[in-house]
Amino acid sequence: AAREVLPPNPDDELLERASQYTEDTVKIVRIDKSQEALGATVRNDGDAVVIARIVKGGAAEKSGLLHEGDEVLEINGKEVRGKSVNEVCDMMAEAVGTITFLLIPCQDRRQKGLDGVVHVRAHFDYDPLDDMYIPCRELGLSFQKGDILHIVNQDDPNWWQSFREGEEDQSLAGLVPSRSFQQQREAMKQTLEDDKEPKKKGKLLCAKKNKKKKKKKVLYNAAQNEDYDLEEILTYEEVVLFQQPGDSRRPVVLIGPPNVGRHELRQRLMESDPEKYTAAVPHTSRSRKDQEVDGKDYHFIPRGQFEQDILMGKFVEHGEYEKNIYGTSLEAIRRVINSNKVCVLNLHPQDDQPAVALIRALKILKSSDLKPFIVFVAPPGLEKLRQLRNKMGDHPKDEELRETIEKARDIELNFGHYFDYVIVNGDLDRAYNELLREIGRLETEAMWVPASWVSSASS
Amino acid sequence: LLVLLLLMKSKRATRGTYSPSRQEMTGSRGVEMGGMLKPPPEERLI
Repeated sequence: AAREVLPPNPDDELLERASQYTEDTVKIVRIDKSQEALGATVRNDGDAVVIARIVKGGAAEKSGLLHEGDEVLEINGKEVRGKSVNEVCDMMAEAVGTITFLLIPCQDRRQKGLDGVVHVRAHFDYDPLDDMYIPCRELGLSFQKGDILHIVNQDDPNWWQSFREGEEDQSLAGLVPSRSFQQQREAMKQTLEDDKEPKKKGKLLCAKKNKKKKKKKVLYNAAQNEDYDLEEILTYEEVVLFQQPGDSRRPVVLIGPPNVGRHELRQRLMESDPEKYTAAVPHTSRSRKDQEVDGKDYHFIPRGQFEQDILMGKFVEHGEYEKNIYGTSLEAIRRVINSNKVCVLNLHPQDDQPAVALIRALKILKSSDLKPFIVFVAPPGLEKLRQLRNKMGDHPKDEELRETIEKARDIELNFGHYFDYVIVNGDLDRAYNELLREIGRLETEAMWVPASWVSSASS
Repeated sequence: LLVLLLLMKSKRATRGTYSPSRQEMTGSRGVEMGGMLKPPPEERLI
């Protein structure tokens, strides 16, 4: 039998033992190990202990000597065949220094994927401690909606190896569900939920159904609209770092429930530096009054054309007031950008279905070439919101305050994946300064944006 | 990271991966769940 032997001068004793195995090829591998794990996982395959995964960043990966599919026969002279992975793990936990492996190398080594790193923004929360499907719990990487993940290895179609931004000091990559695995899992969950529904229509109907309704609540009857698919499965969105050019600043879009102080925030921005912050000039279908200037106060266009332009997706938002249509067009926003100013948009799309209008506005903005920076202005708790509103000169009832808070929650739940930043407005001065600081960051720092924004521009 | 690992390890020790109720839930759905939602063989980090 042919024997491949590494390194060149192993001790005779080891060779002797290696020759006792009947397999064609037995390989000896030595790797230095510190207190930290080598960065390989093992699984049981019958009696055998097999290398299941090589983890990016560990000594095993750097050495290039261990491969997925290799069977481990011995570790430091101790036989491993027949041992459970837990025992092997315990053995290795104590071992430090040079570790000698006796292996049967895997014959069909799969072609490894390319080494490039892909950056994604996660659109769901993930807790590996809660996941029964993760192959190796110790390697699980938890993350939350909005976190940026650097995907360093996609060899396993179900489990990606990844680092989470902000924890760069971590040496070993962690495991996260792949896009396709997460999609399948969510799709499965949805079918299961649908399956369950008819069965429940028995005794427990009242209590349970209400609960469920609350959880799956669909905003403002929006489900009937085909534009509006809440059922879309959110997984990961590929992103790239992007630094806005000095002469083409990203529009800042404020969204949030009514009466949360967005109008005041925008007003302050525009008053603080009118040369820098501007609103887009809206369109209207009403006729021009004497003192009004076309293109300055409004763009005046006939109703028929307005309606047609809306259908063609030229308007981010539009609404009707006293039988006339008003709206903000992509073109008007682009004009502000081209004049080297920051366009500040305060979205309050109007429709009989506000959620539908909001998602339409966000989709139009996001799929445009305008690269919007979307800021969600959230209300504080009830008491603070009351104080805020009092300062703004209103004295709303509790009911109204609660409605604001509930609407904010709905928006966050359904459109959270559109937000670039969240400001909790408990104090107008503080929220304003926070907003200023974020706009300042856009000028000095590269930010993660959808990869499609950048690749489509360069190709 | 070490702390995290230790934490996970300790959680592991007290919790384990064996969860009969979950298995029952998923097991009863056998066919339509397909092969995918069968927990994979356990891997341990070395």
